[in-house]
Amino acid sequence: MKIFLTGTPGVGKTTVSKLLAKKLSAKVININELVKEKSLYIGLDEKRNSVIVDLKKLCKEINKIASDKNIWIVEGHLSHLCHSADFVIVLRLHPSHLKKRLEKRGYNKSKIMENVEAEALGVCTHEALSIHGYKVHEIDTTNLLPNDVCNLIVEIINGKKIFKPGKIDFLEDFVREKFKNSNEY
Amino acid sequence: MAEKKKKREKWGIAHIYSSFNNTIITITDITGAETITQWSGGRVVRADRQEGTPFAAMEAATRAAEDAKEKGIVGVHIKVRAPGGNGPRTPGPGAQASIRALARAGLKIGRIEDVTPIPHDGTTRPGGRKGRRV
Ligand SMILES: Nc1ncnc2c1ncn2[C@@H]1O[C@H](COP(=O)(O)OP(=O)(O)O)[C@@H](O)[C@H]1O
Ligand SMILES: [Mg+2]
Repeated sequence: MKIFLTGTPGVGKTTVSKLLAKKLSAKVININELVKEKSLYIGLDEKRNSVIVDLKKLCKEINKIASDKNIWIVEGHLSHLCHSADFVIVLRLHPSHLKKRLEKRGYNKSKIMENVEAEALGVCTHEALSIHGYKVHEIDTTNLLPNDVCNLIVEIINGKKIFKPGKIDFLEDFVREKFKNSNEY
Repeated sequence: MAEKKKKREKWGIAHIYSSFNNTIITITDITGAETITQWSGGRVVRADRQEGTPFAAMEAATRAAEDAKEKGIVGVHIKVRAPGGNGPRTPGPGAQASIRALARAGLKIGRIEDVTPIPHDGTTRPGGRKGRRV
């Protein structure tokens, strides 16, 4: 079984996947590590100081590794771009919380802003939905502990809970804050 | 002399954010520093489930355009952020509806820039913004 854990950088995927692996006796594939280890990229995005991932090779590699009977957690903000998942879980976090976390990580201003905007707009959810449809669940982790998030995912996998995507909306908060000199509000 | 008489047209920027649930249009001055007006789908429709519809986006854009015209804006350059739509790299229906509504309300439309954000943390996906049409 393959569980794809996705979401904007900083939402807590790596943290949650470690807890989840323990709870489910599952194995984890960290996409960023895999991409670097096996050089699964096709170039460099200089503006974003990031390697552009070779999705075809990445998905092939994931399917090769995660082909046995184990439970596999595939974690990374690109995981949902591969096919063949049993569950796709998108972790969400309020943009103002995410901003603080990314500042702690030491990202530069433009990197923080682009990721925070991506979270406000639900970019990962959008993409996951268009590829995986009903397999997608979306959890708002704002003010939840990693362990709580982990327990919710276990309930999803056991078929006890459904978190239908599209119910989380951070956009209004974000845009209002960004243009806060507005006199309309 | 003749040139001096030509009235300077005042232009602004329409920042369109369109998500699954909502579309928000903010019109600022040309520098982006001063907000002239802001309308969201959530403000113009009654039911939550309508906030993200093209209808709500169109309504919000129409009101934003009216406010802007009242404040002397004749045209806007557009910065659109809209993931989703039919494919992962096409702007959402809310964005298209709002751009059309701004034009229909009588604003001139200048440059349209797609600045949809892409998550990245040392890795990023291919595609970027190249070749996207609004
Ligand atoms: N539920 C949570 N509550 C508070 N802090 C968290 C939570 N989940 C993760 N963090 C913290 O946020 C930071 C980013 O988490 P991480 O798991 O590395 O995110 P990702 O893998 O999605 O980029 C880490 O410092 C982590 O300790
Ligand atoms: Mg991580």
